[in-house]
Amino acid sequence: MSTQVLIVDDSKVSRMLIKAMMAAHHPDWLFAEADSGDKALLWLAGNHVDLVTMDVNMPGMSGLDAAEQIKARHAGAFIAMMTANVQSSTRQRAEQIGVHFFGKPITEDIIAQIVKRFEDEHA
Amino acid sequence: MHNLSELQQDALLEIFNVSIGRAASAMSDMVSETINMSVPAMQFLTRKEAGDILDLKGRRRICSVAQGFAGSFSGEAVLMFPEENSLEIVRMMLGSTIPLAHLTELEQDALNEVGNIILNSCISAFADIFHEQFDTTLPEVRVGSGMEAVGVNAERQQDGVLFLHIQFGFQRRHIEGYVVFLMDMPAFANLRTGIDRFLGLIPGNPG
Repeated sequence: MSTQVLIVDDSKVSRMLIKAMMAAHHPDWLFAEADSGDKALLWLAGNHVDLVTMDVNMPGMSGLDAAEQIKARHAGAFIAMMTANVQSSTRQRAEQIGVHFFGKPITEDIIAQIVKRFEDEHA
Repeated sequence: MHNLSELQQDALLEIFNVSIGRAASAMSDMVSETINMSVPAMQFLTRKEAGDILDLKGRRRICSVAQGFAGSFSGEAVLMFPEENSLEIVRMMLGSTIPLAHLTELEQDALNEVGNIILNSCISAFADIFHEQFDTTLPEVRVGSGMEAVGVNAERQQDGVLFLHIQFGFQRRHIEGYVVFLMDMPAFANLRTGIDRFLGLIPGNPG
């Protein structure tokens, strides 16, 4: 079964970048997008997910709160926080929730790290 | 025309967001406190209109630190917060390293340094993402109305600027401030070229 990815970011450019760079590693992966934490949760209510990339600083629900709820409902999902908010407190909160933390800007190197960690965990 | 497509605006706000994120991290390390950030916003305005917006946020006197940057496009980055909080922010940032009695006399100097660290952090992230090199001016501390904070004098009132702003707040103390970028319009075409170059990096996107 193809790996299902959900990209959550209020920036369309960021979603495009993440999707294009991940698809370059795995053209067979399936991608869904949401521009807010609320919409991500709504989509997840009816869909399975393997890998989630989550922005923090979005209108409405914070990405950290959304990640916490996803973690509770989809324990097996790999969640990568991808944020410009690179403060230690954000990293610590991500650690507490049990999700992975990656700083923006989005680069091919960061995406390669996410893909590798995901594959290591799901090997 | 000073138009940006929806995608160009999205890209510019995201670049601004990443830049401020790095600055917030530097600030958070300095004050040992979490900094909350709003979602960034942008508008095309005259300098006077930008000053009016900042004045309306509580109509208080504002303390600002401004630093100019110039490359293929240019502008000014401004860190601003209510004047009554400036001494407290300096205290938070310098901690116990400087005796309280010396803080007031060092306030201007300390604000300059705070501005230097925060604004340079923003400007350098902005430059990195745009693959630009910016020359920066020394930070300048200003105290006054919102108009004065954004450097409005009679000659510059009608200058068009691209106004990028984000609100920040210290989590435990009720202090809020803004980081504002005022981008000069004469170099607007170069800014747009920079955004398109950034968008061109997305595989499959013509930019």
